[in-house]
Amino acid sequence: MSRYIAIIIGLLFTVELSAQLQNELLTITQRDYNIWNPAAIATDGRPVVGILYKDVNLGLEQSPLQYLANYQLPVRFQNTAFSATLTKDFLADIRQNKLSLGYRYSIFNHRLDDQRFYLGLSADFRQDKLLAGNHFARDVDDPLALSETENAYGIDFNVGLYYQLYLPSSTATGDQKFKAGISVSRLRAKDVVYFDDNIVSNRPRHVFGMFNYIRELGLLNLDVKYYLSVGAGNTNHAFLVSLTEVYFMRFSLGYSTTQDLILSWGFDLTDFDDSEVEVDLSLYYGLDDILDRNRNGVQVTVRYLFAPKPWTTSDFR
Amino acid sequence: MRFKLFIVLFFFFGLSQSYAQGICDDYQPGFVTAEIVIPDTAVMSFNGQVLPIGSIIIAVDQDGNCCAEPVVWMEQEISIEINGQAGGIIGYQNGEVLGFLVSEGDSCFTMATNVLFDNDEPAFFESDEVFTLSSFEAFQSFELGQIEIENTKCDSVIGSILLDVTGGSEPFTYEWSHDSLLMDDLASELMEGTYEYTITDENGCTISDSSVVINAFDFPEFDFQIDSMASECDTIVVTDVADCNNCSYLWFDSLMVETRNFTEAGIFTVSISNGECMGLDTVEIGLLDRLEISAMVSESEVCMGDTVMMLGSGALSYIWNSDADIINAMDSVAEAVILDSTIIEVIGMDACFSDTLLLEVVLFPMPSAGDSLCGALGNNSVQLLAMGAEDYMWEDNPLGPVSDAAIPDPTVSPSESTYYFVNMIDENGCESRDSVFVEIIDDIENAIPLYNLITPNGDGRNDLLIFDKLETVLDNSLLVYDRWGKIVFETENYQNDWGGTRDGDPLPGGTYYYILTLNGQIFKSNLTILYE
Repeated sequence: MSRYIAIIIGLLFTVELSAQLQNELLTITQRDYNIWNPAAIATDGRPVVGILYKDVNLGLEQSPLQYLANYQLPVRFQNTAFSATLTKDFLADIRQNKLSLGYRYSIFNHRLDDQRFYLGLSADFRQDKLLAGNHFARDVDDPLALSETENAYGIDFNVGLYYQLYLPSSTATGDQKFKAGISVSRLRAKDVVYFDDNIVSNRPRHVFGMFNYIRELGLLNLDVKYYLSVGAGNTNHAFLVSLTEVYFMRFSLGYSTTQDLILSWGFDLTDFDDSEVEVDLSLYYGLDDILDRNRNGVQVTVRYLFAPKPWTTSDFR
Repeated sequence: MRFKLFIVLFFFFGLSQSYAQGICDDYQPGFVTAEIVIPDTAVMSFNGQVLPIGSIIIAVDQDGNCCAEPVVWMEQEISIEINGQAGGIIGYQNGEVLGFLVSEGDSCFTMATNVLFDNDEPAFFESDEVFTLSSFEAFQSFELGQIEIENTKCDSVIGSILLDVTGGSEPFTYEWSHDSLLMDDLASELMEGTYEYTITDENGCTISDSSVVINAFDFPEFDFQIDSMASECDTIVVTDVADCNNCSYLWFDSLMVETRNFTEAGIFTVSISNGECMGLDTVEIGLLDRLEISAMVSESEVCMGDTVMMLGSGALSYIWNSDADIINAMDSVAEAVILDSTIIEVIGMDACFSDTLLLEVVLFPMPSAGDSLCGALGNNSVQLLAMGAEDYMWEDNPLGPVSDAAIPDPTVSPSESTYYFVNMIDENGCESRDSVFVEIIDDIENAIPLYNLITPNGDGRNDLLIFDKLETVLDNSLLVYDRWGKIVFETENYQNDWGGTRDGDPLPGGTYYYILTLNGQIFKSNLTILYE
């Protein structure tokens, strides 16, 4: 039943889904990091279909808006995984559609089986659209003030590392997990060039990092996250503290140095041994002096995790 | 033995002429009838030489009917009688004259004696033999073909007469009455007067004239003078006042007139010819000095509305021109009411020339009520800003009172767009009244367009984020942030001077957003930065 729900939701979102810019500084994902780190593809060991919707509402019709759809598939005894991600980014007069194809490889420690190390690589196939017809220039005779939509196409690459450590407790509770990752997006950092090499918008390189600590506390878990984003002359840090497994729900409170207060709520639909649906809703509430000018945002993610394959001996090589 | 020759004589005309003239001018070649009787014993000789047999004999009589038909001497005695008188005879042989026989007392032979024979001696043959002239041939006549007379003229050239004879027999001899030694056909160095000449040819024939006149011509008289009565101020007329009829004129500039105008000073030459003589004259032209006037104005800096006095000198009459109102604009002393900085033109004139001067009168710097201001309806008040005066007094406005009428920068809050008037007195004591328009914008978004594209490439087009009429809004602020909400530019009292930079460094091209606050009213827009 949940499988069908997930497929329906996915199809609904896919209608508008394309791909595009990662909205880097506000890319805070609760449970899936592969959106910006290709090394984190299918780290759950299960095929996943996910969608994301984010609206950084600045009180404008042209505020940044992003749709994303993602599919992750682990193969070959879960040592390897592939992903395909479609992103459509609305950013005022600039649109970007992007298809990312990712690959990751994992290194298992069989004897401990609680530590994994992942390497990831993804390629972006990008279409940039400049909606010049929306421009309102003071000097209309400026040769850069175009009147028609211009397109530009490009290919770029992303790389990432991801590490995951599980420390079981000797008691009933107290299991701990550590997760850390770092990635570099847009290795080529090629400018987007429109119209006979004359009009350029920049696509700078970005570095993303994360650290996640999870501790089982009995009726609930403590989940602490740290996010790092560096690029285009900006460095941003974000912290998120969550209480999870609270009646299949999670509650988070966080802060971003973009002066945003982050409130998040999520829930799981699961039959434990079968497929699973995860939903997260995050609100961004600006704390700076833009606050009174209606700056805030919302992010919704939905993930459908397919039923895990039974373990085989080959998984324990 | 004797033979007789009968010759019929034919007389034509002019027998009454003198003898010499008669034979030379009036007789044409012809024959006279004569009987020439030559005795058998006669011996024909010339100059002691016996004529050889076969010589041709021509008989000439004493009257000039002298030429008988030639006969051939045949060793006969001949007796030549012409018209009953003794005659002469001339002999030819083979076309050459051998001798000439002259009768006694025949004057006709005087001329004949000039004929020279072989030994340059006159040849005579006298004989008592009687023969009769039967015919004769007259001498060829001659006449004066052309006479060239050169008159004396121009003090340096004297006269001459050149005679040219046609016909007759050379050589000719010339006799001049004024110089007995002159025997040439050219008489020169002749002064004014009447001259006489005589020409004689070989045969003694003569022509003469006593009425050859040599005239004298002098230089033409000329005297160019400035015709003061015809002179105009910039033009001098000169004319020849001498009595020089039929003279022609050639000026230095090839102009061929007797009277001409000059517009510049100098010494000018003219050549004058009366047809015989040519001379030069010079005319010295000196133009009158041009008029130079002076003028002054009582004050060069005045308050608006003040009256200034202007004084001109050096001319006979004046014209004052200006944008300002002029009083007594045709007098040397005039007045002007100054309402704005102006240039006063004065034109001075005398009988000939005019001169122009410009006088500048400027207003003291005018106090100002300030530039037009813009305010949002129902929002903050607008602060007026008058300047340039020492004392201010704002007038009441029913649409919105002035916070303090006696200061230059009171605040107002009109209910609608209106003018505020202020009366001012500056440091020069000038009183003025000015106004400022306060525009109340109830649709400020339409009044101030929110542009969303800048292209900071230095080409002067869309390099800066500019808001029109921003200067009319007293209170404004601008906040620009990137797509992640990070502020990249922020300022109060924005001056339309931001060109897509953050801390002086160009921002990456892409999408940004800005919030513009105008008098407390917030306007938002996206902003695209593109580079070339």
